[in-house]
Order: sequence, then C-alpha cells, then structure tokens
Amino acid sequence: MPADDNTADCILSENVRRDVFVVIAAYNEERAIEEVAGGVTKLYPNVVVVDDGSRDRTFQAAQRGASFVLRHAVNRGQGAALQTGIAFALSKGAKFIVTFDADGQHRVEDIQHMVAPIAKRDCDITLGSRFLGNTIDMPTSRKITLKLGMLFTRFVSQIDLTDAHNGFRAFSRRAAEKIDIKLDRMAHASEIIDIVQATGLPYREIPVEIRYTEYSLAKGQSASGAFRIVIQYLLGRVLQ
Amino acid sequence: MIQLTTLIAEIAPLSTPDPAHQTSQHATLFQIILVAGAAFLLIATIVAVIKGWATRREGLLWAVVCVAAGVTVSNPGIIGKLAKGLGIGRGADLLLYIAVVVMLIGFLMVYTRLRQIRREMTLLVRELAIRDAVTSSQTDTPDGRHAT
Repeated sequence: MPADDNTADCILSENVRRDVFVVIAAYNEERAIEEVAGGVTKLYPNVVVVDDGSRDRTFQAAQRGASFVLRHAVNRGQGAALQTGIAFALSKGAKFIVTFDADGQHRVEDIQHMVAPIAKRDCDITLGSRFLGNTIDMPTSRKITLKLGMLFTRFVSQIDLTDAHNGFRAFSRRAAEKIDIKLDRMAHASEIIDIVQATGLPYREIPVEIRYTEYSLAKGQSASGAFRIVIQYLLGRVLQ
Repeated sequence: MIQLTTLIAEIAPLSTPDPAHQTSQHATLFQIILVAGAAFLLIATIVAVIKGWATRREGLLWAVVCVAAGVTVSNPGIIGKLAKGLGIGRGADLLLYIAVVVMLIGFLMVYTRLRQIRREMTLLVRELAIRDAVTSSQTDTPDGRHAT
C-alpha cells in the first residue's frame, strides 16, 4: 500500500492500525459510502461495511472503498448491522473495533483518539461525544433532540454522558465480545449504553468533531423519529 | 374484530332473559347447530391431541373453550346468572369483558412471537452475511496475518 500523507500524523503505529477494524453500517448510502469507506481504508486497512439490505447500489459502491463488505439479505436495522459487523471483525481477529457512520459525519482523524486510550489499556470502551468536541453546523432542533436524548439516558440508564447517541464508538476485543445488540433498529444506541454499563468495563468519552451536512442531516433522526426510538427502547427493556 | 362482533351478535340474544325466546324447553335450530359444532370441535381436538398434531396444553385449552361454548349455548340463562353473581349487569357485558381480555392476551402472545421471529430472522441474516462476506482484492489481504 502506498504511504499516505496522513500516515505521518497518526499517533497510532502501523501495527496497531492493522488491528483496528472499522465497522460501518450502511443503508441506501451509495452516494457516500465509497468515499467514506475509502477515506478510512487509507489509514486503517480493515474496514467492514455492512450493507443492511439497501435497495440502491450500496453493496457495489462499498466494494470499491472497503476491504470487507457484508450484505444483509433483508433490511434488519442499524443495530443489527453493527452487530453483524462486530461479529465478523471478531472472527477476523480484530483487537480494536470502531463503529463509524456511513454518511460522512465522522472524521477519520478522530479514530486515532478513540483507539489510543484503549491501545494504552486506559479503558476498554470509548464513546465519541460531539458536545465535548467541535460540532460544525448543528441545527438547533437537532441539538434539542440530542440533549433530550441525553437526559433520557441519564434518567433511564443512570449513566452520566454528554452525548449518548453518537455512532462513533470504539471497543477493545474483550469489550466487543461482550456486546450483543438485540434491538435491531435505532434504539440500539441506548441499548449499547446499557451494555457498556453492564460489562463493568471502564469507558471514557472522547471529543469528536461532527460535520453536519445536508446529506448527513437528511440521514439523521428527526424529533419524531427520536420519539419512536424511545418507545422501541422501552418496549425492548420491558420485554427482554 | 369480526370475531368479536359476531360473537356478541350470536350470544347476546341468547343470554338476555327474553321470555319470548325461553318459553319452551325445546332446543332451537340455532342451538342444535351450535352445540353440534362445539361437539365436532371437541372431538377434532381430542383426535388432534391423540394424533400428536397439537400439544396437550393446546388441546386442553380448546376443549375448555368447546365445552364452555356448548354449555352456554344450551343454557342461555347461565351467562346472565354468572354475570349477576359477579356484579356485572348483563350477560352480554360479561362476554364483552371476557372477549376483550382474551383478545389482549392473544395480541400479547402474537407480539411476543413476532419479536421472537424477528430475532431469529436477524440471526439468520447475520449468519448468511458473515458466510458470504466479500473480501475486496484491491487492498492487501489482512486475512493471512490473523489466520486461525
């Protein structure tokens, strides 16, 4: 692989980077996935894209950018797709697993900050927080929805986080082995927080930058979507 | 819903203490058909359990339903008496309440089953996705390093 100009700036050694598996769940992301996955692949050779039964050409586009592409035969939701990617990464011997969004709102540069504390064995799980870091062009409505989500998490899961609903997370192998996402759809974000707490493994929040673009906003959750997620999550907790 | 409305329509006129319908002790044609139907279902249930098509628990549940149907159809007053005993005004009301409770239990059972099927489907889809994973040739193969 040709040396990339970013490589020099990366605080992780090449050996560590080869042990990192970046899992990206993609649903109807043919426009963004090749560039997003390709951007990650430059620094991290092991990128796992899980095409969650997209109706467009996400599967084909992902193969031009990622080293591993998996396809759900039918759409099962983001939580299910992430779990598939995590299971696959573990089967390939991943030592660190990072979950990354497919719509380009996360920055490749932030992956190193997510993985470094785990590589140094300071903690087993890192959770990206957009409220600790810079956030570019976040609309007020999105901000209010996220803050409410955070209060909800604080109340229901008894955990104090600044940003509970960020798709940017990193896990050590032993943490990833304990993760079994059962809520297939969007409510998995709250579920992961519960799992993180249940594992008893040390976690830390890491400031990350989120870029809000027209594309990523259209792909994100609206306030009504957030309400639906709360219902799914609560039903899941009651009926587990 | 269709089941509920027809159920009420069928049972309500029988359970109301209407003297016009209860003058004679002779069974009406309606009662004969329904009792015969209930008896047939009861026999079918017993056969199904013997042949192993249904579990004993399912068979018992159906048998209770069949016997209850037969008894209430042949003695229309019984539900009204039962309702009065429970402090519910009319027999039709008691039937409505029972129907609502049974339906809610039914919905919950179907929902639980649906969740279970969804879960199994996800596990199946995951299994297939991992089995058929595409490894892109354009990057250097990290497979070899982690070969198990």
